Amino acid sequence: MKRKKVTLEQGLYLAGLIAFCLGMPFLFWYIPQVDAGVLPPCMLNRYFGIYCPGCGGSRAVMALIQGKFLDSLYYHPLVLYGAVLYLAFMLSQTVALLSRGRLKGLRFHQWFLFGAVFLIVLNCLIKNILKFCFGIDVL
Amino acid sequence: MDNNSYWNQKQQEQNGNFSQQAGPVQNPYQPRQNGESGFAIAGMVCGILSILCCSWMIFDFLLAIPGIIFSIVVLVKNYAGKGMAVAGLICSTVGLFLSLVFLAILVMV
Repeated sequence: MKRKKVTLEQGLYLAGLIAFCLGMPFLFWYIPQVDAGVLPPCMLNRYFGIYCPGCGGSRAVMALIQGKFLDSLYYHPLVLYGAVLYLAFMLSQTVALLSRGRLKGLRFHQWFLFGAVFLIVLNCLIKNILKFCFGIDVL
Repeated sequence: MDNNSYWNQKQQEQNGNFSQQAGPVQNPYQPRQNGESGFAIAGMVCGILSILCCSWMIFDFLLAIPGIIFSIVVLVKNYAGKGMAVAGLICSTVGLFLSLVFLAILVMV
């Protein structure tokens, strides 16, 4: 019997489900750690005053969980971008799966990932330029 | 009539030439050839996450090293998604470098 080939979107949907199953316990561990302030601070920011590409990520995740979308966007735009893309992809693929292919789900495009890289670079540059050129500490 | 023969006929009609044998024509509705680009996607996702999590050193190594491996596999084996593999390699390397810098600071201070 010929095996049915798994499409890219089906593979990504499965990866998304696995990420959800692994991510939920991680979030349950992570939120109390952030609330208690026991996570180590960013070394680059602490000793050199430079914002690293991940600075603001924890605050953005916490803001997103509390439903403060604009705050999340302000702290680190990648978190909201990733959450929106993830939800859109998973929900549309679930609908496509339930409708047995009558409705099409969101298709993966490589520009989604290049967009994420662009956001990381832009966020890091803007925060550091604001801090060192204009003296504005955004975090 | 299957899709390929339909598109061959369409091509002949557009060329105004019904007598000549047309070569194989690319069917625009053919499914994407993306069998191996999963490696490129995995490499790039690992790279992006490794940059984001660069302050969590051990966790970052677990992301950056597979990211580098996936990207190299795509480049060496000539799989689809070379642009993403290059981007994934750069992101993973940057993430790993930042993580090593953090580790060095932690050891020295």
